[in-house]
Amino acid sequence: MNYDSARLVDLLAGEYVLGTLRGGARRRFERLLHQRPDVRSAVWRWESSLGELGLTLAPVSPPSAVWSAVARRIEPADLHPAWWRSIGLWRAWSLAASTALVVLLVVSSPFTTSPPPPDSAPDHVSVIGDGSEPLWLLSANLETGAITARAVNAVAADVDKVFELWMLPESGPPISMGLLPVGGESVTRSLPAGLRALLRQSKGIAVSIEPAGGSPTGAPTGPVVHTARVVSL
Amino acid sequence: MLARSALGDRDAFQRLYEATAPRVYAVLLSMLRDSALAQDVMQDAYVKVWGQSRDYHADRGLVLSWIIAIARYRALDLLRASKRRDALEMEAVQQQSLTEPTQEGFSDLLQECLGKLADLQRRSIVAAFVNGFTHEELAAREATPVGTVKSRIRRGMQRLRECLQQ
Repeated sequence: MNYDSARLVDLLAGEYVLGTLRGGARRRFERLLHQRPDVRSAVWRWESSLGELGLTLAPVSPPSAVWSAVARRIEPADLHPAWWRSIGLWRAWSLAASTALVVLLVVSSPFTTSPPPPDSAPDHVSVIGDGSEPLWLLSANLETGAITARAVNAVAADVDKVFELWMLPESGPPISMGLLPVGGESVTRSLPAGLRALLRQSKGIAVSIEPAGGSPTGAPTGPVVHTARVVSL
Repeated sequence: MLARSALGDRDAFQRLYEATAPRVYAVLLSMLRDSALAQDVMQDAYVKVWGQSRDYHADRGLVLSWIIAIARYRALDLLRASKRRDALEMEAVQQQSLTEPTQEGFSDLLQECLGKLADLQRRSIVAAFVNGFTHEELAAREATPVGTVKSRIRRGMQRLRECLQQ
């Protein structure tokens, strides 16, 4: 079968979503789905279009036992690997961050990029990681507003993509905290006073992949690839 | 709610569940016609949504469509693997009228594009989606050769895609 034909791929994607693509043809298509972004995009388009057909049916509330079972299965919500919880790591990072030489990087952000006041030892930290590997280290002093992001293992997402950092306040939509550096670089910004309280109370931070220059809408538009908590030292 | 679920916010995830579950459950009941099985699939689907919530992005369309897709794939796997529809069930399938889309619930564009399909094309596509029917099941209930059903659905999907892309 000629999987290079966009028209054929699109039709196969439609029948895959519909469920009428079966047996060996379905398995071959699933392999393709894992290998090719164009195939995934075709499937997503059909999922989005055909998904609306589900709305033709009258809603039926499932028994409350279903949610109870789901809630049990997602408990405990352990988001962080063991290295995250290591207090030694926090102390070491706190000390290192307070003396680190940082490179200022001007990015599109609601925050100013003036240098932080001297002697602003971090009182909040966060490690954004992938499995056992930390990708960025964030440190903030919420008294002075100085916040530093350092890329320890993060590399560029793609030639025309960037990583954007978001704060997830206790209520309300995510708030952009600017673009994250890559390739070993660091960036330090000054967090406005109003946002320091939000960060202190926040449920955490998230990283999404966005077009060059950052989200065009002010809200995450790409996949959320990492999440982390902000920990008070 | 989904962004917060991606962070591990269980309250946000519960709100997402409450907002979407009745729609998802209706699809699963329609496909599986077995409430206990539909509830099992609901559990599996929402545990998967919880685990994959950080993979969701705007290109995937409405959050509800994404969740319905996850639940339907699980239900399709079960239907195909267990060949659940035995002779007795097939009789029920044959007596079941094909679902006709209502005028409500989905976008004007999809409504318009479905309206451009031949009646049997539209009914077959909707039935395959909301009932999980295979080509063979559709052919049996319509007393039509399987090849005819296959080409009918293929042509209907082609026309649907051309219309949706305009």
